[in-house]
Amino acid sequence: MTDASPAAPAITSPGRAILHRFFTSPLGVTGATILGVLIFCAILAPFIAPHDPTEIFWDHIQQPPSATFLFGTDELGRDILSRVIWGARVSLWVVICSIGIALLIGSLIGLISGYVGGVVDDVIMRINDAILAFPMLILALGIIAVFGPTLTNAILAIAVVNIPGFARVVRGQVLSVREHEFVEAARSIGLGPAAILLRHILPYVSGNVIVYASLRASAALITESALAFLGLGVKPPTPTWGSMLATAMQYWDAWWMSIFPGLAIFIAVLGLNFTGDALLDAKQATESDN
Amino acid sequence: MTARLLLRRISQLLPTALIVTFLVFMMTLALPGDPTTAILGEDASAEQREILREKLGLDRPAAVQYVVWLGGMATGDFGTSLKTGEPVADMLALRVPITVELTVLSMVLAVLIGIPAGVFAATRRGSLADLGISFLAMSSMAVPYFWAGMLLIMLFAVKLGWLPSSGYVPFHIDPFGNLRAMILPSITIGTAMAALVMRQTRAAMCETMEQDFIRTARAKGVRPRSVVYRHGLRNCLIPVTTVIGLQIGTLIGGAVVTETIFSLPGLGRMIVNGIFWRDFPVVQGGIVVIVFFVLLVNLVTDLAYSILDPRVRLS
Repeated sequence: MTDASPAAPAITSPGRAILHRFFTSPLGVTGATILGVLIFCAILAPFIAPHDPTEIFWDHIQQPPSATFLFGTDELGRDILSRVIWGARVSLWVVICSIGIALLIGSLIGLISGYVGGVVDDVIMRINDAILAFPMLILALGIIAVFGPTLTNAILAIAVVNIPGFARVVRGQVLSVREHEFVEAARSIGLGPAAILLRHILPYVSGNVIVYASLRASAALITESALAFLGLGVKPPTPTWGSMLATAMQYWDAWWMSIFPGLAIFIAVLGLNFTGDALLDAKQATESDN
Repeated sequence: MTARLLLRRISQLLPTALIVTFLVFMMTLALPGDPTTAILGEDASAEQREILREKLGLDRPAAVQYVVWLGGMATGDFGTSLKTGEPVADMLALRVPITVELTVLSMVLAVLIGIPAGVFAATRRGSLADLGISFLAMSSMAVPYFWAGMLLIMLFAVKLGWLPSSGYVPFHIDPFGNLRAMILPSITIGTAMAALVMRQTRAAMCETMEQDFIRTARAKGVRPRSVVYRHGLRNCLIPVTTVIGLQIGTLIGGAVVTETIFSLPGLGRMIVNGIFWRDFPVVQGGIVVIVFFVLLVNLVTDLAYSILDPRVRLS
């Protein structure tokens, strides 16, 4: 360690190189900062929200922004700032769970489809194409129509909608590495398909999967808000940005009721988009270096 | 040549279309517990259940139900609404034109804004104007449709009073009133789409303008305007068209929420109301029509691409 010559090239893993690029790009830093604030709000909501998000202030019904209520109050006299902060919880939770589930199941399907090939691959890809033919929101609506409008079902619906995309990305990757020498070497020493897939191919495709997940996250957030907006998400009084906007539609004069929750969605989506784009850029730049 | 291509594309599409119908059909099978309970609620009488069961054909095996349902749709019978008893086909006939009108108007708007903006940005690459347009596009894509619609209503309907926020009238009764009611909804979807079209145009133009034939055109003294539009843009239209075609699904998803905000009685509202009333034939009919529309547009885009670009046709 101590006698390592300074002239030796620094060996960094591709993951580190990507992260370094990400955190030195303005887009990445902005995106990460926005996400950081969101996660901070979501986790610490009970401590940083000035009021209880469901507490009703009878003598402050629909008040415009003031010193006590920075974002104003809604039609029931609840503090909008506190509701916006708590709203980050539901939205982030839905995004993390749905994209997480889609990532796990989709990757597994893609691994199997790409590695096994043949009829299995054909059948899986046909079903994949059929699901991809549904506009995302329409498919989510169909699933919620069947299982009923609840938070869990919203998560499941958004997960299902995203599974084919992950399956497709992973399958494409598997097809391109399946014949590589390192896979052949693993096979030659007698490893079974499961071990080859999980220990040798999975690490190889994981970079692309993570980048894809970050790109899908903003679409998941918009779908969640759209479902809540249509009244097909979380039940009141739990605050969500989408349902706050739906309520605001009945009170056009109270502009603060529609401006702040909408801004929250806008900034969150922007943060996720920046993060996704910067990750993709960093990954492509790192790959073209090697 | 083209006929063979068409046949091949259609034969590729057929299995996908069949699986789509099967997935939509599965909605009724997948209903948790007894579907009649899910539809009628807990306190329906056994008699009511029996009537519904018969009406939905639930007493028959699933495979038979599927074939009957598929056959019905093929002959224009989409079943009847459980809530109103109206044939779903009649409801669709009234609502499809509204959604199609909204989609087409939004698309036109997106192209009218997106392509010139993309060309403008690409020909001034790296300038302040380019950065500004790209920033605007990125922001526009992060605004969810429903919020954009609300902001437009607040500004143009509530504050300025220039345009209505609702009040749809059919085109054949009052064309002017119809278009007036469609302006804000089309802007809602059109501007977000325009951002996508702009980004695509810009990227394609930046690539094309680097190519040799552009240099040749410049060298032989073609006017700069002509180089950009006749030589450059023309070669970009194919990838741009493809992206627009592939975005049709997103656009229709946007139409669903937009119709809700502006009280347009289109397909989207029909589906959402159908979900609230647990009116499955209506939801299924609406979804099938939308997905088939998306598949059809994708097919047309695909064909247009192959016909417009000889390189694709020959490969």
